[in-house]
Amino acid sequence: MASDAAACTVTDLLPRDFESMEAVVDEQIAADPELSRNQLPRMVHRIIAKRATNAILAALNKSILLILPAAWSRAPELTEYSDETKHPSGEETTLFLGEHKFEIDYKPIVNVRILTFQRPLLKFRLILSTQVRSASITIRNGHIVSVGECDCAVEAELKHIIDEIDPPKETGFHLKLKSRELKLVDAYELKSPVPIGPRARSASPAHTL
Amino acid sequence: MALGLPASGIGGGKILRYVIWKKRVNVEASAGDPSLEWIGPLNPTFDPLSMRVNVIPGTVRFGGPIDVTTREVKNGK
Repeated sequence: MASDAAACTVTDLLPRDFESMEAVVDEQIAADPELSRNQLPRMVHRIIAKRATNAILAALNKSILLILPAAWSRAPELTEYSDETKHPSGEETTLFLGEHKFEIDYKPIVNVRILTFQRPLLKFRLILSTQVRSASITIRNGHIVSVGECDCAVEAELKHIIDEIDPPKETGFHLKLKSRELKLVDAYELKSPVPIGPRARSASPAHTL
Repeated sequence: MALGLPASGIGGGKILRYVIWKKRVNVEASAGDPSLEWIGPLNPTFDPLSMRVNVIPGTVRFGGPIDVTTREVKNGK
């Protein structure tokens, strides 16, 4: 069970083909005066769309169980564990987390070089919504070192955006997938322990990862 | 009469151009830590069309406080 949950990646939540990708590529090339002037063959648009899809899937092929600790590390409830005076070196604490939910977003940007033109042509926003029913994490020396007994549901959304302002301007491209249930019964040791952020919850609920 | 696909002409030329372009496209990506700015390696040789993906660090928004129900503490050395 542990290996199944650990093996689930963000890519598993997304389809192999993004139906609207070619339309997005068409739009972005048409909106770029230099690229549109070159009148690239239609097949090039198709190749860009296919390769961009594969590039995004490869870039996001990361275990969800490695992403969750990155979110928890920003939780204000865990802030005190970054303070060595409260939790001295060598102390190991296992926390049992109750029901909670959070959203993590990342922005994959596909840079395309076509002949002499180089552009961040396609910008996306990936949102992972996580509903945690229960979880336990172990903290040592200000780092989350393992995840155990995790029961949660994760849902992915991928949106095409035009710019990166907050909130980003979105287009019609929107992939939303059904949630995936993840259950971890054994402890999963993190190869790279995640440092707990010292920042407390601010008025704005967003924390930078 | 020759059989098979035309080696040239509109259909054959399109296929040939497609294959040439497809070979020229170079995309390499690896799963880096999305919390870091990630840049996939590019083929150093010249490609008329290549791509890379940067995954920009994101944000996390909590839906409410996290109920930390129990703590087990083991003191180290």
